[in-house]
Amino acid sequence: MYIKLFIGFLVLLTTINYLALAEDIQVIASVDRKVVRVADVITFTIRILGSQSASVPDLPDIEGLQTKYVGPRTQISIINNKSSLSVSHVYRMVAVKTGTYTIPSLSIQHEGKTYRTRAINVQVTAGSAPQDKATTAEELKRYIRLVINTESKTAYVNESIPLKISLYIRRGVEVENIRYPTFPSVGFSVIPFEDAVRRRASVDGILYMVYDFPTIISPVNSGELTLGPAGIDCDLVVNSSQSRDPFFDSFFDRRARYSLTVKSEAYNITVKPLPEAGKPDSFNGAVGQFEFNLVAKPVSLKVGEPITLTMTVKGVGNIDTVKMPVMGDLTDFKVYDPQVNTQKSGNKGEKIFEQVLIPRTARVSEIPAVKFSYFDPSPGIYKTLIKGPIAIDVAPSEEDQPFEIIEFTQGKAVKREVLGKDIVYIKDKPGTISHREGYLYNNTGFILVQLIPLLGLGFALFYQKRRERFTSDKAYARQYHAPKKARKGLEQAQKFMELGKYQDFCSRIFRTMQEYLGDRFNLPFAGITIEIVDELRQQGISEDILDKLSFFFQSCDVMRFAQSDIDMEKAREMLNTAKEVIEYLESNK
Amino acid sequence: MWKIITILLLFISIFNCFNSIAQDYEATFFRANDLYKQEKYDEAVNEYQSLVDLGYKGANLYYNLGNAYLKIGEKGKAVLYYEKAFRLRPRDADVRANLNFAKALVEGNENQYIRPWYSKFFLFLKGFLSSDEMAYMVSVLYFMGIIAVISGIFIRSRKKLFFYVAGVFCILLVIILPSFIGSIYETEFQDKAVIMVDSADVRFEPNDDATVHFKVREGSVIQIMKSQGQWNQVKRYDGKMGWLKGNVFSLI
Repeated sequence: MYIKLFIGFLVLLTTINYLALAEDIQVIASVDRKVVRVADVITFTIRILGSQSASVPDLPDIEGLQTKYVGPRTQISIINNKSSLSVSHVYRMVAVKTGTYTIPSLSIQHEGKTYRTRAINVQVTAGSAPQDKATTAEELKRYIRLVINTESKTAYVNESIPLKISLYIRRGVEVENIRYPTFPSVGFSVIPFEDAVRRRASVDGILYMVYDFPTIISPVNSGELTLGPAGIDCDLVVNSSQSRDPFFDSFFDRRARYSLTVKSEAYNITVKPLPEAGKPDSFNGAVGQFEFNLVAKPVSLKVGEPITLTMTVKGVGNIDTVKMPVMGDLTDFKVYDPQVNTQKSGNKGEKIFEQVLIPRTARVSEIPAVKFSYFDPSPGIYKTLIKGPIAIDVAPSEEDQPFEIIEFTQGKAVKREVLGKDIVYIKDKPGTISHREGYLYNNTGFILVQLIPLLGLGFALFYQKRRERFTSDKAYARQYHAPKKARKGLEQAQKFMELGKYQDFCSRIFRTMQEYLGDRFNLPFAGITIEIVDELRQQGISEDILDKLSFFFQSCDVMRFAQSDIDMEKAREMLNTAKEVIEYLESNK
Repeated sequence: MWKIITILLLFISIFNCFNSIAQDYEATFFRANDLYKQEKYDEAVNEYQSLVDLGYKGANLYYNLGNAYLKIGEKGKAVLYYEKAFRLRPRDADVRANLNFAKALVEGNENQYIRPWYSKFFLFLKGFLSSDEMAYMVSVLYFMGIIAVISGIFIRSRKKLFFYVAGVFCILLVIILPSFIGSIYETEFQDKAVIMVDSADVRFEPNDDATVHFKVREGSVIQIMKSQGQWNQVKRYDGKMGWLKGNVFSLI
């Protein structure tokens, strides 16, 4: 039984879906009223026939209408065995400003197609209009409203004016998330709001819960200035089942939180400029009602010691306009910049100026009078408060010695030297001078000098390598020294030749060639004779040189055994032959 | 013989030339000092400045010029020349004291720069030695180290000893090098400058309509990051950056 019902339900759903998919959708936009008054509520509905899955249209902000999306309502209807699906997207719009406004044409996407609604004009009027429901601005104000209030509607420039913005909420109306008010304040300086004060008030016999937001404003320009209209954001919470009020029953369908901006009326203030008549010279712009007090400590001191002059201005008014009181002639004092300490609380405040004075001479007997002038806006006149002069007793300093003051540290009196502060005197000597541009590290000469140790190190390493090779490689050592030894031997032989000592010449040149060939080819000296020519042939020595070498050894043998055959010419020929052989072998290593 | 005489005369003339330059320098310096002592600070500034304009560099010259500028109320120039003197002789207590005094007169807290611990640790010599002195020191240690190595190569019997000595020089070099490199980096890659006008606006962007980020006062030390036409991107000691228009500063 249940299975059959379930299958039947599935078939119905599939059929509905099929129908929905098969047909084009239809989009209809409508409003419940086209002419409304300020604060009236309009219900704007976009009905989509033939689908429940079309996208929710994105409604842009419309000037003059506060809009809130309430939600979708879906519907399935079967008429004459034909089923249809629809969804209605509902928006609530509160008219906040008079004028004619257009709810623009909206686009809805469905299965790749775009459907558009028509644009709708809505007229918002301030006066009477056809009333379909009891949702008028006047009625809205009966339940929740915002009021700007000051103690006076006239003020002077820079006068501090306490301002209160009050949110009236009728008893029984639930409001949450009340934010701080905002309001245009061109021509005023405004301090941040203090914490809201909650109170009860009865207006025309109706009980309200009132939230007062106090602040202080000060006009900076004169003329007719306008504050506001102020606005305050809050959430109205309404539960129709609990509400006993038909207004809210008609406004909201069920318990809901509704974001609302409550607006006040604009508020005009007449700001007068400060009068020129009677303005004292010592007036620096302070506006309010102030007291002035002057204290000097210590009044008995030595030259060079500081006096702290504490000037306190306190009272009601714009404490920011209070400037340093005007002091008399202070040429006999060294004057430092004053320390200023300000404390404010609402419209009241206190400003303390601590001025350090140091008498330059013992002739000083008093601190001149100090004047403080301000403008009192209540009677609208300038007032000047004068304190002093204060008599002081200044003793001469002790021969320019640094003075001492007594301090209390950890319960013990200690003397601490107070040192003056100034620049140290100039240098008497010129010191080291230079005419060089830039610094030493980018001087080319300096950088080049740094290469010297590197070159030395390179040479040392090269020397060490060679020394190691001479020690370990005897053949290399012999070959290396061979030409030098040969050159010496040949020079010696030439001397013998020039002296006619052919016997000595012969033995010297023979030994030189033996030693050279021995060193050059790492062979024992004694075994080197004409037979070496065959060995050298295998090493690729040119035939010409080998012939010359053969000639040399043969000539040596002849000369050694037949000394009478030696003459200068032969000796020279032998010497040249020896030189040619050695040069060849050196150049073909 | 003639050659020797010619070379000798050349040496004497070069020596005389240098001697006369030094004498001219000293004469002007002492004259400026006298003017300063007579409290004729404007004239003293002119004399000291003439030496600077001739290209002379000297810690005492810059220091005295800084004093003279401070006396006539030119905080910016005073800070500039104290900074220059500090770079040449950072361990001079007088230079340091007067630089701090001049900076304390600058409005705002632009100059309250505290070096981070790693900078103090690795660049500890920066506050004691000038970059030239560090260059000499590095050079001497480098020479000595390599001479010790070469000696070890040639004198084999003392090879170990010489290599130990070279190691000591090498360690000293490693200690000094970060300070030296830091000093070169600061001088060559960080264009530091002193503001010369009473107050100047530093903006978020290089145009006149841009919002003012902060103000710099006369004597504030800033770092020039880059230039774009009339505008220079500058950085304050606390890291805040912005664009400064015109030539309102002098490079240290």
